[in-house]
Amino acid sequence: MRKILIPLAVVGALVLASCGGSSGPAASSCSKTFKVGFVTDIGKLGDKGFNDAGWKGVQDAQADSSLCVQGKFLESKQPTDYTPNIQQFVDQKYDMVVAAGFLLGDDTLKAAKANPSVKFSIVDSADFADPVAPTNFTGLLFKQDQGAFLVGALAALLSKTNHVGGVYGLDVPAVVQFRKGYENGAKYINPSIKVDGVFHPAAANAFADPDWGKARAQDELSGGADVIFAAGGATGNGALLAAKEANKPCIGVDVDQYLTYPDVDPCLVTSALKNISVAVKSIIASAAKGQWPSGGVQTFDIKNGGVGLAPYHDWDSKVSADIKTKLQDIMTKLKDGSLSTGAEGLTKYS
Amino acid sequence: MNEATPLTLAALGGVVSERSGVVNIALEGMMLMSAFTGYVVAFQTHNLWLGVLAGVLTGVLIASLHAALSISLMVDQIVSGFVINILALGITGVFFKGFLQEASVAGPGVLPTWQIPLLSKIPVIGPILFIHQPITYAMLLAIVLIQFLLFYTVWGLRTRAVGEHPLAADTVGINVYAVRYVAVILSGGLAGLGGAYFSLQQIGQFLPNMTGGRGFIALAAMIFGKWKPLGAFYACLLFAGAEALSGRIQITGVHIPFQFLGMLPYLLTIIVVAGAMGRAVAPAADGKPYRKA
Repeated sequence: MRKILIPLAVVGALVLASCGGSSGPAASSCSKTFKVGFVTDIGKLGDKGFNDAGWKGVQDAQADSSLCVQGKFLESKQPTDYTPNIQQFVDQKYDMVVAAGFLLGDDTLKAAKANPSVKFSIVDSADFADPVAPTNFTGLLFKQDQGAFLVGALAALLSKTNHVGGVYGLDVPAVVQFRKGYENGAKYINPSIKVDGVFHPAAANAFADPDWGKARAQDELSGGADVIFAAGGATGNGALLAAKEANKPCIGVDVDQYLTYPDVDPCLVTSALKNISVAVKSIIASAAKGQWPSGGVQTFDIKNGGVGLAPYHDWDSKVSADIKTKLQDIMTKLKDGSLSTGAEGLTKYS
Repeated sequence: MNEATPLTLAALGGVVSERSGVVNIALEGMMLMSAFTGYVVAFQTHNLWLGVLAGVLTGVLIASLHAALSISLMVDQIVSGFVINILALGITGVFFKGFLQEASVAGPGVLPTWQIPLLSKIPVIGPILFIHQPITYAMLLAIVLIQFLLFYTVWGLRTRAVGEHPLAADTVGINVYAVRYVAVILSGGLAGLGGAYFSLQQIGQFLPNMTGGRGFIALAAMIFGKWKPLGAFYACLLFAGAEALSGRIQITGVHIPFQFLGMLPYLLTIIVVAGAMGRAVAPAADGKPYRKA
């Protein structure tokens, strides 16, 4: 037994060390720091998208010295880590916990109810069903379907084969809205277009399986699709890579992936932006300044800049003025509400 | 074929190791560590081949650890393998955080695709067999090589003897420990090459847990293939095929719950282990440490 214990102890230390981190103390001029804990979903940091963007929001809040914010993150390796990770921050008397993603919805809500003195905020989830929502729980919702609708339209305009593809992570509401928005956007431009799509089947690594994502994108490309949209963390990054290797245009998600994933820059036309970092920073700022919205939902859409298109970068000269005008037109219509994506608030794909 | 590559390499590693009587559930961890070191070396040296070499050596190194723990120290082989898996997840996670995560720079790229002249022009089988990336060719060679080594050489006979009845092998003068060490280390090299597939052949990047449990599917394939190299290869083709099929079914829009096909490998393995397709019998001394009298 002794022989086993030594390696186990080493492993234990390493595992513990691997799952958390902070980004330095708050500014020294603060009399009291506002401590913010950030819990990732199973996609973890380093996904060059969703989780990284949420953590950046915390870091941005920390960088604003007037807020006196001190941030720390805990990563979730598996769904059973959500509650313990949240609890760790509660136990350490954190003022606020930010949870990244729909997958943490139930755990976060439970924690909010059990700890009314701690403020909770969650990206991509809100207290959908509960009639008595706790006032210390605020959901940050994005109309990702609007960004997806735009890139769907763009994909349809770029396609020469009248056939485009998409590769997605787990079929959670946000991803469902990305997929449906993309498909509806493509069909808005061309009702007869063929739109492929595939969700990752396994929950455990649905957002961290680039090998699978790449293979599925290759399936779609070999089936005739000539534009690939990827919405699924590292899984989606694999799909982008497949498009790059096949010299076909690709479209990223959440953040400007031109900046975060340079390997695919040659194929990346744009990304369906979700300004998660802005949303996270803004909710932390309200909380730190004592302007907490008393629960409920904050919605980020194309009107308030919460979602949108990333710059075209290398593709700027290759996307024709005609296409740009058409997209601008769709954007205007989405903003004034005269055009609906048909995917708003969707929770199940059908 | 491409998706079956890491599965097959790991499954071959499993076959070699278990044929000698050492259970190797650490294949997953070995692949993950190798994917990591392979990437780091390729990134630093700008040489993908050095990366592949580093991946293989990492597999060998970790396998040596597994061998030392389970053969010399007689730690339970499952425990040792399990520890290595967690260790790999932890170490790669820590170093990823520390060194790779912030680097938003382009990676070293992926290994080139080689078209074998003439042979790749053969209709139907040409593209299937002769247009691949290097690690896939290496996998095809490894299948043939391991099949030959295990069943047609003295080394193979000794390895199998040690896995079936180590005491008998010992009495006729075979060094049981040495044979097992060699088999486990070879197994690590194979798994290491499988790991290099992820970061250097397929994705050109390292990501935490990017092997995604394929080391365990490889174990299932090894059992499904009845501890034979060729059998394991067919099983891997089947499992990879099931994964690809699951994707295609979704893409073509057939309404079958797509999660269902995702569990196919495990379902098939249970059926085989339950004896539905002829008996799948593990080497008799598989999993048992040998203590020299």
